[in-house]
This record gives sequence, structure tokens and C-alpha cells, in this order.
Amino acid sequence: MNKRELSKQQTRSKVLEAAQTLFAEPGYEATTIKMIATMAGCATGSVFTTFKSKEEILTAIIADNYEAAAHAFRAAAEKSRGHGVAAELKAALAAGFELDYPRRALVVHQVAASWTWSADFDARTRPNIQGAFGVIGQILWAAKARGEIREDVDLDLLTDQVIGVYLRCFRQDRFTPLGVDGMIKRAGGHIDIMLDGAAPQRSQKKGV
Amino acid sequence: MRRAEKKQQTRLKVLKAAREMFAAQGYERATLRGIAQLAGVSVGSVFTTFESKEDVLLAIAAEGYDALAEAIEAQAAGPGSARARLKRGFAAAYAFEYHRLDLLMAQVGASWTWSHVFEEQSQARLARPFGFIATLVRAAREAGEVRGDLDLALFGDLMLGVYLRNLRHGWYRRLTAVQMAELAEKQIDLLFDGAAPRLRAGLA
Repeated sequence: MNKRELSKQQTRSKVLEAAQTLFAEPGYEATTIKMIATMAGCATGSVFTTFKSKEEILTAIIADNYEAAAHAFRAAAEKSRGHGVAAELKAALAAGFELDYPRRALVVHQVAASWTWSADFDARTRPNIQGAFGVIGQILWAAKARGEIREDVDLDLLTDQVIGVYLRCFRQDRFTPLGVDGMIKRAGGHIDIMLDGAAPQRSQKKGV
Repeated sequence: MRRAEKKQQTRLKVLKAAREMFAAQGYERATLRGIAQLAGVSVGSVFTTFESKEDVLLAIAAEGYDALAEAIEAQAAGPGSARARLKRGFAAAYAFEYHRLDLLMAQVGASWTWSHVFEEQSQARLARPFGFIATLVRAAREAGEVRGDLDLALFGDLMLGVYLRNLRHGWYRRLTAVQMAELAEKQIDLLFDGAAPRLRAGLA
């Protein structure tokens, strides 16, 4: 890497760091490129040499964070492999909560933005989000292959419900603080309800 | 009397302008100044009626709540299992709200970051239209449609999560109100089959 590339790389990470702080407080909409540049200690112009727009900065942050989340989900799920799909899912989400809790303000503002951003931006961001939560889908597919989930269950639908549960814990925490342990417990309760539904009922009946 | 009338007129003008503004540029981008301008009133007079932009949004969203509650209750009160009535309630809500999905998107988005005061006000306003979920979840337990030891609060919260998340799917995937209701039906089935008593489900 030459000097110029190195300097560009440094600007990039400084901008991303400043943007993460500002998107958490005062939030994505209230943040301007100028504010990001000031906090990063660089010129507004040099922000624009790396990112075309504020949306592009958000895309980069989402991509980085979801990659980290995907990694945490996968590592935790692998550790609890063999203990059943409920244990794997709970471990994955717990690792996600541990990772995301310190930056919960950013998560909340990101979800808030995700309700009002453009359809085009939603389409561009979806691969990153699906990448992270794809790990959840993989856990469910493997469980189906093992016979822990009924054949007729729509796994895309179930994955989507797990994502909803995960994210809604952050909203709940904002208004009624749960802490990491509270979020893990709450999501665990939701997962139990969802899976008892998804579990094969016939083999269950035979077992009774 | 005249003064109260004038205040009421300002309120109506502001609400009308805000509806247009929110729909045209989205809630986040709209400003109270812009709304005042479109309404043809001073910014100061907006503040005599509304505390903030969030306050305006909540007032608009709440406009339809009585009618929404009636639409839901008419469907949810009919015959059938609690599960079927929940599905009909969701379908009625989607049919009712479909024409203002953009406004709901702004409202749900804002609800993630608004203040505790607004959260409380919003919960109070939503209590009637969405009270049917808690009522029917209880009815489901009384009728033995769900396990006796099921955590009804968690179960109800999952239902509400399904309702809200489908608004987002509806908006970004351009679903019709009927398609949103069909999606909700599948999700409700998935949640119920989880919650259903094993033996009963086994016998079915």
C-alpha cells in the first residue's frame, strides 16, 4: 500500500468511527456529512472522496457490523452444536446481544432508519442483513434435515420471525431496560414458543 | 369561543399540511417550519397546539384509531376459534391501514427512537385498536387452544411483532392488503402450532 492509499484508508476508518458515534446520537437523520468530517478531523471534501453520500456511509457500517454479527452468531452456534436447535439459536442470539449491546443506540437508530429509507436502499442493504441472519437460516435448515423441525414449516418465514424477535429486544430495552441478560431471557422465551410450534408433533406424540 | 375556534382551525390546517408533507417527503425530512408554511400559519401558532413534530405524527396516526378498532372488532368478535378471529382481526387491520402505509412506516420508524413520554402516549392510544390481541390470546387459553402454561404476554408480543413486521414487508415488497393478511395467517399458524397442546395437536 502506498502513502496515498494508506492515507485514504485511514480517512475511511476515521469517518466510519465518527459516523457510528453520530448515527447512535443524535441519530442517522440528524447527522450531516459536515458533522462527520468535523468529528473525524478531516475536510468535508475528503469524506466525499471515499463515500458518495451519507447513505453509502450507513451501508458500509451496516456491512461491517452485520459481518461481525454473522461471525458471532456462527461461532456461538457451532459451540452448542449437538444440543438441539433451540440451544443453538439461543446461543447465537446471546452472542449477538453481547456484541451489539454496547452499540445498542446505533442498532436502534439503524432499525428506525430502516423503516423510512428508500426501496432502492432497502434492496441494496438486504444482502448484508440476509448475510448475518443467513446463519440463523442455516441453523434452521440443518435442524430440519435432522428432523427437529417439521417438514412443512416455511423456514424463510421462521427465520424472519427470529430476526424480528432479535431486533425487537433492542426496542424493548430502550423503553424498559433489559440489559444483555434480560434480552437473552426474553428472546429465549420467544424462541421456545416458536420452536415448540415448529417441532414435529407426531414424533412428539409417539414419545408421550 | 372565537379563540378556541381559531385554535381548532389552526389544528386542522396543520394536520392536513402534515399529512401531505409526511407522505411527500417522509416524516424524518419534514420540518414543522415547512408544515406551517404549507398550512399557511405561523410556526409559533403550530407550537401553541403541538409540542413537536412527533406530537403531530401521533395525532395523525391516532385519527383513525377509533374506526380501526371498530373495523377490527367487527371481524374479531365473530364466530370461530380464537386463532381464526385473530387472523380476521389482522386482515381487517391491514385492509384498513393499507392506504396510509407510508404514514405507518414513518410512525413505526419514529417509535424506535422517540421519547419515553411519547412511548407512553402511543401505548395508551394503541390500547384499544390492538387490545384484541391480548383478549383473543386469553380466549385461546380459556378454550384450550393453547397450553395452560404458555406465557401469554410473550405470545401476544410475538403476535404484535408479526403484525408490525408485515407492514414493512408490505411496503418494501409491494404486497397488497390481502397478501399481507395471507402472510400473517401463515405466521399465526406457525406460532399457534407451537403453542398448541401436544396431545390435542397429536389427536387432530
